[in-house]
Amino acid sequence: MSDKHTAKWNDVCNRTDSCALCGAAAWAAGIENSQILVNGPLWCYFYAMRQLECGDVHLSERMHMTQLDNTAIIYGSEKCISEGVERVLANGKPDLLFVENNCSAGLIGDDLIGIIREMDLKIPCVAMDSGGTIGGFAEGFSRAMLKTFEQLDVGAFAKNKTTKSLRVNLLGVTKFYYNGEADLSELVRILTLAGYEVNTLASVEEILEAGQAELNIVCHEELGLEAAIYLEKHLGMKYICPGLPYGCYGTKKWLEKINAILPCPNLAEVSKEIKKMELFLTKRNSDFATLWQTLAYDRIIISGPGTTVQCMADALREEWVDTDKLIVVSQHRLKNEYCNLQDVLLYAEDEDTNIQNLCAMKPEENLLLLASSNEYMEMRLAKSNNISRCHIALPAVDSILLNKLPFMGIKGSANMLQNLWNAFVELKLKQ
Amino acid sequence: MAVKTRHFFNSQKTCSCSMTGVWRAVACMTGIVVIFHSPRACTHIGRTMDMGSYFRSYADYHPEKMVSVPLLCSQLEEKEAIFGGADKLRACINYVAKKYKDSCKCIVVANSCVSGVIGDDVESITEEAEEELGLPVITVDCYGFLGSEFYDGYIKMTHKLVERFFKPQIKIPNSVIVLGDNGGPWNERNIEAYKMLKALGLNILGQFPSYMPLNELDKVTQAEVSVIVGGYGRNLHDMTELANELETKFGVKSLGAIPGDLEKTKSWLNEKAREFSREADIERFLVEEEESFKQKVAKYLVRTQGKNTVLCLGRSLKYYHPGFVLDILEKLKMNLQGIVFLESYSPKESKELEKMLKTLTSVPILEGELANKALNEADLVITTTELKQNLKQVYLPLVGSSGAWGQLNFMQAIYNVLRSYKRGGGITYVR
Repeated sequence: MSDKHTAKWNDVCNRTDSCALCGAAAWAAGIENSQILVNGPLWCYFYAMRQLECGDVHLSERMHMTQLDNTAIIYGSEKCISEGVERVLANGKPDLLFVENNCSAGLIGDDLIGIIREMDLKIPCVAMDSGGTIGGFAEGFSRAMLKTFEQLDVGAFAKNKTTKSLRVNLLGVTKFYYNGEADLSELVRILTLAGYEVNTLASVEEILEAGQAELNIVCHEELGLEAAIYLEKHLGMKYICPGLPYGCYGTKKWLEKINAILPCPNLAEVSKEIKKMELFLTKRNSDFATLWQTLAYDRIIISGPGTTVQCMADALREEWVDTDKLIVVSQHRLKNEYCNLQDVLLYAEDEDTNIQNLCAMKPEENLLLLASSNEYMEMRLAKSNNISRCHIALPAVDSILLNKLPFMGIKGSANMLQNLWNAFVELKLKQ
Repeated sequence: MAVKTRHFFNSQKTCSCSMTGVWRAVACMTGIVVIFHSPRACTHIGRTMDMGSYFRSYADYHPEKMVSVPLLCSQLEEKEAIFGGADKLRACINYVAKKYKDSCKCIVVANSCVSGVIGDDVESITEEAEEELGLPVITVDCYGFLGSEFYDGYIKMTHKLVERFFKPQIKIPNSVIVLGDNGGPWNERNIEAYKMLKALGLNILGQFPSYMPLNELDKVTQAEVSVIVGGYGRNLHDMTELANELETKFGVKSLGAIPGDLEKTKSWLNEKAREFSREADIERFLVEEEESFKQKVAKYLVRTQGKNTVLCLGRSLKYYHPGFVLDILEKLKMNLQGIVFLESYSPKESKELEKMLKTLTSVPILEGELANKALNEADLVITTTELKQNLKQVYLPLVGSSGAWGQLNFMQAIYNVLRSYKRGGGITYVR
């Protein structure tokens, strides 16, 4: 039997990633006053929605499903779709109706776009296949963004419109990543302070205005790069992949990269705030370390979405924690390199990536795990002791996130360092 | 205005996926490796269920004592939807056989809706692989949500294990095999059942399916008797068929299911006590249990007596019987003001339910404004489906329990809600 596919097969415990259906819904759910209709079974819909409710507790009022069954798969789902659309529209007209097929609905060949067009709804609609066969959350999100640009015809809207000076689009940001809403606010705050006008594509109007920006900033590369390439190809827009701003120094570097392409008027303002925060953190850090000793671990494992972990890795080492070994487990393979200071960079899908093995260590060693509940569960099953952890990714079932304090940016530097210190002290008190 | 639920679904249509049922049937059977013949993200759901179960066991102060077997995925993508997924499945099976060659004694393949739609002949592939690899490679004819549900996958895989691994054996005197899931042997739900079996002088050999290593499956047919824990309706029926099969083919006498309330459990235990000549032990056991039950009910009554409630029903009767709730409310001396049917029922099912309820109670069935008025005035609402309104709600358990534990646990949930002085609504899930 052929072995040609083995590179991607690994025990699922090393990676949890919801499907494209969830990712596509996340993109659509980020659009103000949108309604989402999943053409698929209850089970797929429910798991996707429960995950997305972490980012928007009211999402069930905007996300619905057709509850396909065997009959629909055999005879077609057109009736289910039209009934579903009617039910959605009974609550009033949304700014955007987003209809997506799950994998099996996509396979039976119903012309989803045609069915929706036939209904002549007189509201902006986007329809697409978004089942697990096209990939995970990131692939679904990325594809949904492209389909939205195509079906709302962003290109046509941009014709004869002038570019707005210092306007930037943020591509590949979502409140449906762990702590995503707080991070997005901080990105917008910093860029606005620097003097940019920021478009986060969070409404139909903002999406239609995408072509009027001077620069596209790709944040989470796995979510936003394809959209940037599309806009470059169709509208000739420039884009940059500066990564994500973690830590004070990381934020400074990030903004400088953007400034190098599109100079901003108030860079000094931001630099001043960064400097102030750096001084504050340095002082508080030193004070606290006099009692608790240096914030340091024998080993740090950071596992999560590709851009998050690769960008956070350098900030961890350069600004927050000391360690003998920094292991980065990336859930995505990225086109650009974002980290330099790691000892090991692994990919979750690779055969030799095994979270339990990575957590195994000598009794006298200590470890910091920055990941999701999935890795934490693996670590506990490995019976490793002396472990601190901070959640940086979903799923997060063993830790509650209520405050909207960012991990990214200037405010995020303080929040992250606070979380890391508290986890460190807690570990010491457990011993 | 009709009473709105937080999530809309049709209780007559498929609500779950058989693939996760297959997974659950073998989830802790060391020696087995499971492959989902599906897109990668489907394994995310299996893993999410595992994670929920793991952390819930800690929340209940009864941590899991077994770990899940490896779960891999053939990772169907768009091209397999066109060319078929047979090659990929063959290669994945081969990979598993090599990677887990020391520990894997059997490979289980669970099929997704995608493999069902594209029409892969999984049965032939597994037969071929079994011959080539010299180890059992088994599958069942369930394809995700296509014409099957969670319990179809669960029970079909259970029967497949019986068919493949069971043989008649010499019996171990006074031994019992526990049938069913109920959260696993360590779960609170099962602790009472295990105590009863011990009081009957029975030695528990294991719990089947799910919780016995593959190399210990012989123990199932070495047992003199079997007993079913948990379940109601459809799943209880399936487990009863399994118990009958074990009795007919392997001489494991069925003791039936431990009932789900104290009165019926008493009769059941007394009958079994006579059978096993353990009358004195069971009498002692029942005196203690009854006393404990009475004490707990007395404690609950302080807060429950005279309180107003409304019962909202929306779940399929296949998995639930309202008589259970009515009995509890009577024991707690609460005033049931009315019963409300939620929008998930078809007119036919509503009629059947109405007919059944008339045989149980004279409490009125409320609709529209009357229903909403009663809900708003109730001290708490008992419901099968989360309501959109911000009311104090107790969510009925999804799984039936054995013995008095289920009753007490439900009463405790009601007591907890009525004990609370917190303003506003919210939902309390009964485990």
